Amino acid sequence: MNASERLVVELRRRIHEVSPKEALSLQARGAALVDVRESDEIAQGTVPGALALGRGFLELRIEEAVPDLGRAIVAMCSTGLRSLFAAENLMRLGYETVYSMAGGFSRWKADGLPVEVPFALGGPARERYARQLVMAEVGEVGQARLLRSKVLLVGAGGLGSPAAYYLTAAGVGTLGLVDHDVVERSNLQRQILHTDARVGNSKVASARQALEALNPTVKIVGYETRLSSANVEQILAGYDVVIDGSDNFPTRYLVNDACVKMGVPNVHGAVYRFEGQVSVFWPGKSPRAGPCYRCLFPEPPSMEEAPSCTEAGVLGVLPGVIGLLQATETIKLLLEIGEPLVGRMLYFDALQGSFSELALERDPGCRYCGDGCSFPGYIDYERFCGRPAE
Amino acid sequence: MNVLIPAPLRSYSRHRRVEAVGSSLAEVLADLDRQFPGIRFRMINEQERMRPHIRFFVNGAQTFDLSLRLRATDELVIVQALSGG
Repeated sequence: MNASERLVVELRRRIHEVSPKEALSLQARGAALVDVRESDEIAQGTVPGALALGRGFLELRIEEAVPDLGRAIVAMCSTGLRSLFAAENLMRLGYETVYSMAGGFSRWKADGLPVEVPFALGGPARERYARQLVMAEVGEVGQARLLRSKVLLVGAGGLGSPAAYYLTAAGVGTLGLVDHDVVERSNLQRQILHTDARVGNSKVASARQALEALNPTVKIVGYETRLSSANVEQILAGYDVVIDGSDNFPTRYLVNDACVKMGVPNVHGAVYRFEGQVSVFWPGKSPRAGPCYRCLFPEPPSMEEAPSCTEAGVLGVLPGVIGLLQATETIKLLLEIGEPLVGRMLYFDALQGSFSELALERDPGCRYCGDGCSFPGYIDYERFCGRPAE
Repeated sequence: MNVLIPAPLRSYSRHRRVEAVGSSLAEVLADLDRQFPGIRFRMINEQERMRPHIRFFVNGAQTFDLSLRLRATDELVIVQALSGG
């Protein structure tokens, strides 16, 4: 018996081995099934719900994937050998209950247990998204989810620019852009999708050029139109998340009302001078519904009560900060990771360099998302706010 | 207590963070109006109701109650709906 064989015998004395059927049962009871095979092996098929961490980076990735040292872990490889070594290291890291699956994935398949073939990224995509693929919260499964996702950006301006750039970079599969406007030179201080050479071009066309240059694999769908009660549902249909980067109240209420009606999360951002607000309005969130925009602000202010950035100005980098927080919230929603800003608002004060976190209450009497209410229809606010929705 | 004034009302207070006194939200708003005449009407309408685009948060929690008792150590954040994008 050579040294490695002696080591395996020794490991088998210390590591509790389970059969694939026992592993399946443990997984059903909450154990983490960790696949320690190489990515090319995993690409051929794995156990549904398994954490594909691989052997090479196992010790570096496991704490992110399984932060609770008390959670049981079943290590799995191809034949049940590498999983023994992996299990020993997991125990040395402090995991209290660790098993190795005897016979590995080969025996799992032979026993007729469920198998899934994970989404496989091509070489260029693997290289492009490498820095987020290594994070267990994203990984190949999360990247596949991003690539299948559809996000609608209302407004290709100050907030929409950074959000669109980073979502495109992250590989969100389809990005819809709604904007009827053209690029003006006064936009360029903050609307970084656009360039001096594209002044006079439609914002949607300008944005498409910038985004396709960054990541040609993302599908950009342009809507060069004003958002209105007549087209809002048709445009929003099929999108997983809507980002409100509009610059006027009529559009903000239209976006809110349509998102409530269609059950889509509304990632809200708004800026003014040196201050900005971010929240996720999502009354349809399960299991705990959040407020909608109208729960917070039931009606828009008049023009006199709320001057626009055109009149009051805005620090150019401010929509950068807020738009990126919107992009961050969007990715969290798409991947179902972290704690989204549902029922919370971040209030950013650039001059103070501070964020305030405010708890938002859902209004059970809200006319749009309140208990037992039926959708009351869209409201035309042009006469209140003095300008049409865009 | 510390009161944070939203940017659209800064033409009254000049400062983001101001001091105001009062043992209830209504009293604090009255004190703000003494210091910065006219600011209260931008937040509370003729019917003594909060304007729908203005909201009040005491220590991060939303309140709709003008009679809410406050302590000197509390922080009041006033939030206004913003449209800029």
